[in-house]
Amino acid sequence: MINKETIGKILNKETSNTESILANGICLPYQVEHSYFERFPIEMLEKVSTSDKSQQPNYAIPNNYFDGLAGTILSKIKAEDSSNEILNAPTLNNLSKENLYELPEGYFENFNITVNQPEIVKVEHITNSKVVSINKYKQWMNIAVAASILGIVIASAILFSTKNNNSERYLSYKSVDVKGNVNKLSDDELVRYLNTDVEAASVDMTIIEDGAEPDVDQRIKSVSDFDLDLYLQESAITNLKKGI
Amino acid sequence: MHLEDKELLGLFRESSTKEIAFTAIIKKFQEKLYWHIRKMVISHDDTNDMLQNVFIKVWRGLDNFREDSQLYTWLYRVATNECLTFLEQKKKKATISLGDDENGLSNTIKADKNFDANRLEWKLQLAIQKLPERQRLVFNLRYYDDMPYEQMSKMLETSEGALKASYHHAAKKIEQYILNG
Repeated sequence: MINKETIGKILNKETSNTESILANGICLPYQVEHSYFERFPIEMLEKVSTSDKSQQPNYAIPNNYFDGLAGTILSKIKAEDSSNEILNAPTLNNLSKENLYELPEGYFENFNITVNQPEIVKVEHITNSKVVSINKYKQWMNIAVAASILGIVIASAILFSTKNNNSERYLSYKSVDVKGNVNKLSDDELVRYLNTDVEAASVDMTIIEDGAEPDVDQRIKSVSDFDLDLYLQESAITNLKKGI
Repeated sequence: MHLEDKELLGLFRESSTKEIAFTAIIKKFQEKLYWHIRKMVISHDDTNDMLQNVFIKVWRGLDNFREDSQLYTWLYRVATNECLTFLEQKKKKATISLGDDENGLSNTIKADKNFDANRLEWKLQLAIQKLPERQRLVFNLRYYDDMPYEQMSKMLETSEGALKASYHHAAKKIEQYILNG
């Protein structure tokens, strides 16, 4: 078993051997001072710090100069912006920025929004100001419902008035006594009418004569058998009721 | 003396002090927001309606405010959106009634009892109404509120370069209107 003393002896022996080898230059042809490696880090540090200092001129700078540099540059940029703005619009920058608009007296002193519940906000204002409704959706719904009702009323009124006009016209035509009025006319008047309006009368007659029958045929052809049966049954019932 | 934003937000999040904090927020920001809106919509009544709407939205949305930006910037953004929505609706109504929204705002200015057509400051007000809405917004924020582009950029979610260009064009147009109009 190797104890501590033995290890110490071996190490001392090896160290002294190395030193003697280095000192005698047996293995290496180069020599180095004994304390070279001890002084080397210190000398290097001194050299480095000296070279750093030698690069900077020996000028004095204000305390905390670099701390405030960013701020100084920014304010300079802002000042430059402002001066450009002044150059850009000189008249504008000579104008007074005073407030031209007036406010109701005590407006800000009386401005207040009272909150009653988390979800309900009631706006109160002592001066003559409008109160803004919060539930705009409800307002729109009310407007939409009112507009629909108004639309229905107007449409009904228009339809009703048109229907009335038609029935009135029909009644007025029905009440005209054509036969009586024709009998009242003299023969001369009838001859004059036939001479002057003969063309119009002949056109009307042509339409009736040439156009009536084919039209009816065409229409009957376009109606289904079922509808025709229905029509015949209905007209038969009506005729029976009238006693025809 | 107004409380700091952080304190106000802390109080707002506590149910027992929520209403106190809300009132304090109104007191702190009402004037700035009022004038921001008024410069856009001109009429006091419209401004009052919108200011109330803004604070109602603040009441409902402040719990979700994540403090990524300043409270002031967030409030301005709410007010700005409210303004733009209002002006958009007004424009639609004007189109339906064959009116002209820009002239509507100009007429509101001219109807002001203190209006003086010879004063350059009033001419400036008329010139601002000739600008497109977003350009008008940028101009007001920069010219009257001295808002830095950086803050404006966060508020309007637009690049600083675009905002600078927008202000430049707006100022040029206004300058020309004042000189030639």
